[in-house]
Amino acid sequence: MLLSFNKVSKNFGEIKVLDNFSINFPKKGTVCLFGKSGIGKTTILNLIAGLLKPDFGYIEGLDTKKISFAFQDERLLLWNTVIENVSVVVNKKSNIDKKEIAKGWLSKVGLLEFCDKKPDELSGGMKQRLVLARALAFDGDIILLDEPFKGLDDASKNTLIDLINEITKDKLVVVVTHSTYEALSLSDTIYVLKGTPIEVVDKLDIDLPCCESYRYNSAFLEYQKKIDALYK
Amino acid sequence: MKKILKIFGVLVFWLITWQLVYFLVNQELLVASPSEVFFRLLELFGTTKFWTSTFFSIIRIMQGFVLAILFGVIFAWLTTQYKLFSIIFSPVLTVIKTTPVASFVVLALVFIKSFYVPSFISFLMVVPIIWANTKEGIKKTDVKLLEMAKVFNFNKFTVLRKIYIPSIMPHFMSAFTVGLGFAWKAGVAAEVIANTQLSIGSEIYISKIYMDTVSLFSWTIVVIIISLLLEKVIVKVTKKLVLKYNLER
Repeated sequence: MLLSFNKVSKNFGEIKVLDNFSINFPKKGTVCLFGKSGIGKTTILNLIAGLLKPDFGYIEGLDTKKISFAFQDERLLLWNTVIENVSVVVNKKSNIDKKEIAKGWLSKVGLLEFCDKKPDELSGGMKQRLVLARALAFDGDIILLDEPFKGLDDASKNTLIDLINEITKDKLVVVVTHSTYEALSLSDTIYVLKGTPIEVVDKLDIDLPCCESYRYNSAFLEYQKKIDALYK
Repeated sequence: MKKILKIFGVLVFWLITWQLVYFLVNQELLVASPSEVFFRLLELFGTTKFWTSTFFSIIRIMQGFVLAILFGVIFAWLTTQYKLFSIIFSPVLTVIKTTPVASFVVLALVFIKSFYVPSFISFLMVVPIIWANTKEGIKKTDVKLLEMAKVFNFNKFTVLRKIYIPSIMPHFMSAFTVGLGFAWKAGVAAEVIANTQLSIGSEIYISKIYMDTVSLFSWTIVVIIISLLLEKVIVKVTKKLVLKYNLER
């Protein structure tokens, strides 16, 4: 069953973040929830992850689905090493297998040499990469990425965008961002969101090649203009 | 080396002070001389009674201490998980904390054989410390980490091992250290009041009855030395275990 929100409402005290909010997600592909900070995009991710329950309405298509979540606020086990933070989510019985898989993901995000460090010994950008490695190592059916490139330099950002594009082809990825560059580089579909309660201003189906060399070509810039116009 | 010299200096200072007080008071019944106490201690070390009394005191008090840790942690868990349990048992915590040790000893003597009273008193005095601190640690566990554990399907054991224990550990360890000293002091006090056979407390009691100030001072020094040794050894071993199993935050 496809993941969908059906007339979902969610309030935090007096603030209505979602009011009769409906949205459908495809079976696979990357969907971006694009909008300003603080409008409640993370609330949507928390509802998908089951960390919040709708006040009204219902969410379909989550039964038996494994969900990976790259949290914006890291949520790392600061007393464990980098490799332990990743291996702890790997679904294997043997500890050796867990560590091997964790090492593989850490290598992909460029943190292999920091395996035995504690998260507090890493920079902000490195922590963000660790959060991403943990989410990918869990191998969820749905991958939630909440501002996944916060604090990363452009080169690291592009490497990770390519990595996500490569490994998530057969999964549903929901990305939350307020960067048009990240949205366009990653997504098949972009939902432009606005206001409180959140409204979908427009849904854009993106048809752009994934490779970095195509970014900032004319089609890319055209989409960027369109999103900026909707956003205003 | 500097540290040893410093400790030695402090020790010499207090020994001189003690000797001066002894000269000033000049009454053997009130203040014993350091040299007499030293020789009495040497005498004591050579007797079987000293070793059996010390051994049984340590065993009895440690028994209460270990049980207090076990029950303190269980109670802390129950009071944070079940509100009703917290409502019912929180006043017990306050009562234990505020009631004088002597009252409990006298009460306990009505129900328990004097041999077991020190264990019970050590248990009773330490339970609230472990309970309150562990409870605090559980309460302060980061909810966001628990949410992360939920998302990534951590099993209960992993949540306990990876999130709860490291969060509780700093609170627990401070309670452990304070509790150990407290168990020892309260336990010996209980031995004195209950006049428990084969115990350091009963030796202190006998010294008091016969107004044998030298013995009283000697046994008190024994209590202090054992207390320090226990604290050093047990706390060190526990901290090593915590480090070995990576349970520290």
